[in-house]
Amino acid sequence: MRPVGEHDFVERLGPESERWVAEGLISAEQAATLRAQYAAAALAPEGPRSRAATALAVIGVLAVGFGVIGFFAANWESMSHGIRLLLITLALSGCYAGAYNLRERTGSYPKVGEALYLLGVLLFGAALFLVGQMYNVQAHDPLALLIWAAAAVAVAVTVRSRPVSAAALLIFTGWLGFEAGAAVEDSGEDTTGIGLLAVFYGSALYGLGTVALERVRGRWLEETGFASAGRALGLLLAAGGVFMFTFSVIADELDQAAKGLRGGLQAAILLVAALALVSAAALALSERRSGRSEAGVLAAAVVVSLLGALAGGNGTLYALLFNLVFAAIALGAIYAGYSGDERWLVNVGIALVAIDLVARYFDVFWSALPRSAGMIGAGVLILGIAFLLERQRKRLLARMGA
Amino acid sequence: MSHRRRLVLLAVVLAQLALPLSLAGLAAGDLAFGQEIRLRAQPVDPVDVFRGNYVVLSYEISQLETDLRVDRGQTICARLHEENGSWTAVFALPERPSGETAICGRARRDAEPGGTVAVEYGIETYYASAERAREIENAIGRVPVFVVVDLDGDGSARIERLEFEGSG
Repeated sequence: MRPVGEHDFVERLGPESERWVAEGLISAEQAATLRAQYAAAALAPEGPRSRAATALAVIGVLAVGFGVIGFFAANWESMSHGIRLLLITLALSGCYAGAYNLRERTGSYPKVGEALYLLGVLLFGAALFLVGQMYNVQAHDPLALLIWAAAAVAVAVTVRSRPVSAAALLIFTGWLGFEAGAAVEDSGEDTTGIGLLAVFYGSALYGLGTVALERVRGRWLEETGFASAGRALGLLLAAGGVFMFTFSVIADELDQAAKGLRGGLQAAILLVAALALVSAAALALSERRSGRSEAGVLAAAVVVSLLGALAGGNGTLYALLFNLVFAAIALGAIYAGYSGDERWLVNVGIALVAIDLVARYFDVFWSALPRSAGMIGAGVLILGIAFLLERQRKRLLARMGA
Repeated sequence: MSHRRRLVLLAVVLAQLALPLSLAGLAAGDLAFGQEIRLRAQPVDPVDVFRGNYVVLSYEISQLETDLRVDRGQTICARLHEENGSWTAVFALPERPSGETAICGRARRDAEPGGTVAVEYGIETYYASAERAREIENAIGRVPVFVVVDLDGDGSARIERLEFEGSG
């Protein structure tokens, strides 16, 4: 477990060690070794106990956050506008003051302090929506999400908090989905376009996050965890979007999706697709061992989706192509995780393989078999997959650990 | 944490406090100084995931006749006139007529000349507690519902309150 208040200590160590060298207490080499050692310790992965403390603090914060919002909502009618605004102000400022005190000033409970920063960010979002409700503001709802995301990014970058960074990315993604959903709904066209956006945006997030980890050397990126959170969220979104189109009934509607996308939404989706391709190109040029394979899979996902949306054609053929891309994502994640010593990628890849096998079973055999036989077959298949994947996962992780 | 980052954090927190308070101040100002008018409305009651219960309202002026081609999102205004204690309008105008009581909003979708255009004024949502929302639901269909709104100089509107005929 990291020593308490180590962030501050590492920051102070720089000027302090220079002073020690000037006073002749230690040599310049010794000072450099000390700085490198403590910097590495500050960036070392958290131990299981520390992660458990973070997780518990975050769960506690979420419970308190929803409780506070629920309390406000239940008693809202009986409060005057002034009292409501006072409560919002006190809750928000109290949260941030407590977080600063516990994590930065005293360093006594850094995990709880970090969780309070997260609560502050959640309360800010709640404050925006509650004020909107008080004055019947029919603001463009997605805009509030964007402002909320910007505020979360500002807090995450300033206090270097991974949970707040993850929340900021989730809120931003929520804004994007909400905005796209509203635009598609307004146009009255098919909602398949949202799946396309998931593929493009997810690919861009994963690609940019991976490239940033490889190329950007700033400590802030490691400390905020933006790149790592972006990679995880991006992989899940891209895989989810591609998975949608592995079913021929949905792939059939791909060319309809393009008709639903017009004006600003179409331009935005194409821009995100271009960004995904650029990030794939940067990934291919990086020194990462699995960089080219990952870039190839990302580019394949984007190009097949673009082709389906813009050129249209046989849905069954596209479903087949998306099946291949999905398999490539799942196996690619396992390969990238194995070669880059990233266990989470191996685990996600294995989970995707399992999902794919079960989905294909239901897709191909479910309608052809009697229901009870289909159910027995599905159960046996799932148990078999669980057994095989667990055995393979253990072997892979053991080999990675060796 | 360095002194500079402490200052940035303070600025971020102050901005987060200022934003909801400023929104509330602007809204309160609009309500205090706007021109009050009464519009006849027809509510329905969905649930908003973010803001609890609310009533979605549509108005007589939500559909206007147009002699022009209208694009979705375009600003549309309407010259209001009083009729039996509430205000109404018939025609869509591309800009606000000066010196007259008018309301402005945005076209919800494209419209052709000679047709009608659906307009959103930003007063289509009235928030209420679950209990109050049920009361409103029960009142709908039994008595006419009116919405008192405050109009700004630029034609933008903000809901002040809901009224039922007979309750003032």
